[in-house]
Amino acid sequence: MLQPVIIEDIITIGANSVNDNVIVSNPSLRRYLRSPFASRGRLVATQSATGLRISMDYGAKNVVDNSDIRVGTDMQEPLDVINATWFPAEGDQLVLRASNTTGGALSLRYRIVLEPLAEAGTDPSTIDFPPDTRVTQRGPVSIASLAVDIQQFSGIRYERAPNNSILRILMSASATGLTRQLFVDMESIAPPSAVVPTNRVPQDPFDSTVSGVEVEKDRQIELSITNPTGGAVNVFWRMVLEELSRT
Amino acid sequence: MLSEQDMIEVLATVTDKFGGFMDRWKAGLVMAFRCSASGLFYPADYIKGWGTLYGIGLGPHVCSESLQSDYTTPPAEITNLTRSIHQIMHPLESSSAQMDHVMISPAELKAGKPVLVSDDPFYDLRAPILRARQLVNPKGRIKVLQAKFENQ
Repeated sequence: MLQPVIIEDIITIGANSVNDNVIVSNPSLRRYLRSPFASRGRLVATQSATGLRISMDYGAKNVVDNSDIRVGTDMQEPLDVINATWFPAEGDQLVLRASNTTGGALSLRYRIVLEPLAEAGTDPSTIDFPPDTRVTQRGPVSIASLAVDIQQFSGIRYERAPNNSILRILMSASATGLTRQLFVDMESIAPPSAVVPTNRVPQDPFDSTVSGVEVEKDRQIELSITNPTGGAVNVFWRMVLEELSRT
Repeated sequence: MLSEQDMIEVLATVTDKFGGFMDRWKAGLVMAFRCSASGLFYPADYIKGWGTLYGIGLGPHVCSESLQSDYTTPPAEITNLTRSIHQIMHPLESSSAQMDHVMISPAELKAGKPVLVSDDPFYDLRAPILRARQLVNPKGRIKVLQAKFENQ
């Protein structure tokens, strides 16, 4: 019977620098650079202070795109799970990239769990891989006083759904006053509604605000934020695209 | 017979539940919040401005936004992509420490004034301060790395 593989580490990312794959920076973890078996992956991560962004790929597929993560010196499952629904095949390379655009060094604390999908000796061609989930998460993003930010997702990798998917949005604001609207192409999904002022990177499921939205491939997802208050307020969001078929 | 002003002062003293707040206020002391980790003094509107001026992204509960060095995590390795030794240091972390309400003199407030996150979002001002402390701290390991970098 195959057992799960659990990789956990804390690594410093130097000021104004990028680590293209933090897994290889720790010699004892290098042997887990490739998924040892067909598995279900789970990524959990936090940072020591604001300023890091991470991306997660397996093989040629991105499952976490350039995302901000919670500030903390601990990791809390399931609250700090970034993505728990991705399925690398045996031999797929795991790439966890971290970039630090600040003038100070910051630490990334991460855990990758690979749970086997099949018993040892199973013919790989017979394994039925479920569809993946893709995630991107940002914040804090400052919304100026008396301003509307028409498209939070402008220019990001998942502004248009790469595959037919079910969309979920989680949101949080640093203070009260912000409202949000969600559109898929021209269709209004969520009318202007308040964003909870929990002042953190969204926690799943507590900060869930929109869920169960069907998005066809290539349709544009638009999240607009309004700040009617007298001062700038920051917003945090997470976009989760649960693909309906394996790509 | 006490005058009206005296009556107010007596009443204020009797009902003062803040441990001599009136006396200290009359002595010209001002309100501030002291970070229990760094000892820095944050402005009197720290709680009121939580989430707008201070503590962005640190959660709904008020804590210190001051930075501290994490000496238990080693600095990043020097690679051929390292352009400056200033990129190499022990990681900085948000202390998230308790904030204590204090009454202090304006001079003390000025002397212990922190660099606010809103004034330094990318650590350009705070990182050199903390790096200088790491260089002299016995737990710090960047002094050795600095010598290695200079000899490359």
